[in-house]
Amino acid sequence: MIRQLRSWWRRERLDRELHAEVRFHIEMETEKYMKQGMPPAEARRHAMRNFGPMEKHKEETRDARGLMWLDELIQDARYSVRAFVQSPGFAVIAIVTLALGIGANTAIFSVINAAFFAPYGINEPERLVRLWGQDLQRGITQLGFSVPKYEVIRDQQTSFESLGATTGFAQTLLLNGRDPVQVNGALSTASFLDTFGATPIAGRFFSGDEERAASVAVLGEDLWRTRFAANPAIIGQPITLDGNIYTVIGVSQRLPAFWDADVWTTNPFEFPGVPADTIRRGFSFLLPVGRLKAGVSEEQARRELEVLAARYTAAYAANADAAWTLTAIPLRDDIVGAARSSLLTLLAAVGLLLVVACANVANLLLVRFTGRRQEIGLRTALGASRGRIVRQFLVESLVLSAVAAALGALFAYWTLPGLLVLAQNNLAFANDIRISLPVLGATALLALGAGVVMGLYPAVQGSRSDIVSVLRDGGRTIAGALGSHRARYVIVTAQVAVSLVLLIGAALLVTSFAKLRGQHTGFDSSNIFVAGVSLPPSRYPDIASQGRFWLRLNEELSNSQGVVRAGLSSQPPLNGGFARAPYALSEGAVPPLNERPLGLTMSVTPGYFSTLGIPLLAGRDFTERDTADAPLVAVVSKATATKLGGEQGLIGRRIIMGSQGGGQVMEVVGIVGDVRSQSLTTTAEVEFYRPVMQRQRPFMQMMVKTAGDPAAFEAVARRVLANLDGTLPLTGITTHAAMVDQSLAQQRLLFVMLGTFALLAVVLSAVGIYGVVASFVGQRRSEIGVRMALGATRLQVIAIVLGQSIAPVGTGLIVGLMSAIALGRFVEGLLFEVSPLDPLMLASAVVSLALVAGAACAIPAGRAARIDPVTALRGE
Amino acid sequence: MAKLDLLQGTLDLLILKTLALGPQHGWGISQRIQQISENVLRVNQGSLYPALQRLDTAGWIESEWGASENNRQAKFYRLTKKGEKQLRDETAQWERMTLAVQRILETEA
Repeated sequence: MIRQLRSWWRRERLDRELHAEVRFHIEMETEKYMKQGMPPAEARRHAMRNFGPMEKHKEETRDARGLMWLDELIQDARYSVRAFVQSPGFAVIAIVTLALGIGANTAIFSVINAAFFAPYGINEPERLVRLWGQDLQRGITQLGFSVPKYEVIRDQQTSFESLGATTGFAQTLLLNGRDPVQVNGALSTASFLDTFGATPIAGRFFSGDEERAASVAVLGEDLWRTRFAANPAIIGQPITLDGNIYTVIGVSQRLPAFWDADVWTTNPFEFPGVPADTIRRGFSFLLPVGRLKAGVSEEQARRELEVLAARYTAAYAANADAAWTLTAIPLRDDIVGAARSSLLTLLAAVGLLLVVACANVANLLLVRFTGRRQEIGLRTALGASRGRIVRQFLVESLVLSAVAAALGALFAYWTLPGLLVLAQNNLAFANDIRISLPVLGATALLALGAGVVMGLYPAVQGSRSDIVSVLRDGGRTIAGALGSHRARYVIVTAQVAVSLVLLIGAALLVTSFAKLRGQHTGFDSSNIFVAGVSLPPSRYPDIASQGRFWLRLNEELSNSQGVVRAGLSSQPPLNGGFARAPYALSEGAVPPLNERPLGLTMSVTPGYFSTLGIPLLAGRDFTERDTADAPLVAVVSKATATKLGGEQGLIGRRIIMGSQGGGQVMEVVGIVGDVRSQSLTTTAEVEFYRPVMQRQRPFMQMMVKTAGDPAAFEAVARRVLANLDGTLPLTGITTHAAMVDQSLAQQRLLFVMLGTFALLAVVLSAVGIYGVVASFVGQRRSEIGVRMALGATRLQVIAIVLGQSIAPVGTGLIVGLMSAIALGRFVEGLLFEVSPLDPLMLASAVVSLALVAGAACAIPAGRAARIDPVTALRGE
Repeated sequence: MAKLDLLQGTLDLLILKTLALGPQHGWGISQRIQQISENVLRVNQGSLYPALQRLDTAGWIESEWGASENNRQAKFYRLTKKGEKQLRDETAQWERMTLAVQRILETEA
């Protein structure tokens, strides 16, 4: 093969050589006869006779080089390009149609590739698993690990080559010794980065003896580039984090998704602000990952974890996390997470869109190829085989799809930034989304497939040619056209069916999204400015100092210009974070810690509820007097009150909350309305609010309801903060409306994309239907003329034309509807309060598509009705 | 003069056999084949070239331009290692076959 390719590349030189070689042969042979005494002319004649038919031999020699088909293929391609240039209208429509279909696929491929195949730049990501705790009794999954549990697993496991754990923690980094910036810190075991398979960009990672209390730090790639100008000289330099000095020992590459951090430090077995006793009792904040030993499956690891979990339960029966079981899931599944089904739905949708696009082009090709009957008849008469003609047509189709693939890749390249904006950082693997080589490879394969699929039938049809009748009738025979017309109906049917499936899918998602947006959330996000502040433990070491600061900040904000109300919260609704704690009524026999249910907890300041418009249903809001030395108090949500025995009479009763010291007893002083704080789809959960003054909370978010544009409040907020403490940075500046929006990013991405695909499919189908009906009218001009001459009314003519399209469109609608119903259960999980079988939805999709199809037919039908019988018949 | 048509495989074998004696150009090969077959086998000289190309594509021979005996540029063909092995294999096969044919003829007689 290589030899063949080489001689193909050098074919022109080889031809010259062959020519020279043959000339030499003839000359030698001539000389031979001349030496025998023949006159030159006769000698030459003899030589030529001995040699035989020269051109035939040369041709055979060329054939013997192999790969001659490549030459012919190039010839065919050149011919195709010439043909397309001669009818640019056809070529442009076909290429753009196909490029839309292929480009949409390329874009989705790039997302799919990032989600399921991207190596994240780390070593053997397929061997990484994430370890989770789960509390099956209480139906809670994805729980972290406590320190004692991590130690048990780490010391006794045999499935993993290495194990590491980390926990995220917002920290304040002082730049140049004075400018504070908030960074994502990670407290990790020394083994974490190595276990993850990351490589240091500069310096090194932690060594085992640096795990506890060593003041060393590894910078994350992004922070290093943005704040330290990617300067490798930072290694060995000190940085100030939360008031403590650390020495930078290395820079780590970026890790995928939420695993990335700005600054990595060690000492992971203490959590700032949490007493050691609470940590020993099962406070679960560590997020472990394990690197499986070669040859050990996830299933084996999972089984071992079950055994180890049982040992932990036996050894630490009183701990809060004693009863939880353990599981391990591949890191990639963990990162792709909930996006998986959306991605697969989108993949299916773009596939269908491409089918519609291919159908359109196949339709065009069919008209084009069958329209070349005369040319084909002539070529057949001149000896071209049918296979040769089919190949010529197929090459034309492939040339189209190749150009379309290139254009489609460009489309994808242009639309990708928009797609990423739409995803709003809500896709954990967004960093890996790009038009890479594998994506282009998949696109090329797809284009090849599309070229063959859409070209094959038209090619076979177009090559079917009865020479005699074609040449006699001047190519106007209807016989063959009838067969191809039937094929075009089938194509229209398929297009309509596929478009309907996409349209119904899009309608379901749009409705679902509208319902999500229209949810009664329990809070009012309008005009709310949000920003985070975190207090370094070195300067705000205890509850009292932190509480004083938060109260003052709240007061200053409330009194600022243009502020309606203000409050602080540790967890604004829908910000993506949460904390849970065990709780129980502190009356009678209180169940042990590890049997208490878990409820969401958050810390707020006075004024938080009214700022967010959360109604106070009973009791009172927190006040400035609810300080650390006052009796502990809590406000609960309505759902919590219902669960704990009714709204009436709960005020004044005592509950026991949290795991610190076996739980703290506090009095319920108020009941507020339910809030969808975790996601718009989940209804009222058990939620406890506690005054921030009674808890250690180094990080809070300010929520300020403004009279004007909330985004314009940033300058005021900075001034207020600087007046209180000039070293604190303001972070995560946004509005609450944007936060809510962001929580829907994935759903929005899905519905916008599917909606776009459906719209494209409907437009393409309309074009397809129009094309078929228009060509029907064109072919039957004279027939319609005769009918009109015989007295048919315009209405009757229109009825005939429309009648042509009723069967394929109607069949398409029925097939599409049935497919949509059958496919419904696959998207059910993506829908919110919409049934995939919603009759109104299905009916409206069918009717809309039928109307579009009707409109597409109406134009050629109207043209048919205006045919003048005299000109139509004369044209015959 | 009745002359035998050459089967393709036979021609290939004859070319290999000729080149086993040393590098030779196309015309030289055609003369040699006529010589050794004592003019019974008459190669249509032109058909030599497709055969040479075929053997070249198969990797059994290779070619190089050089000066001919009368000092003109000619393309010389030479047997490759692979070609030598092919020649041995085909010769052995030929011998087996001719032996078989001979036996059949003898039995008939």
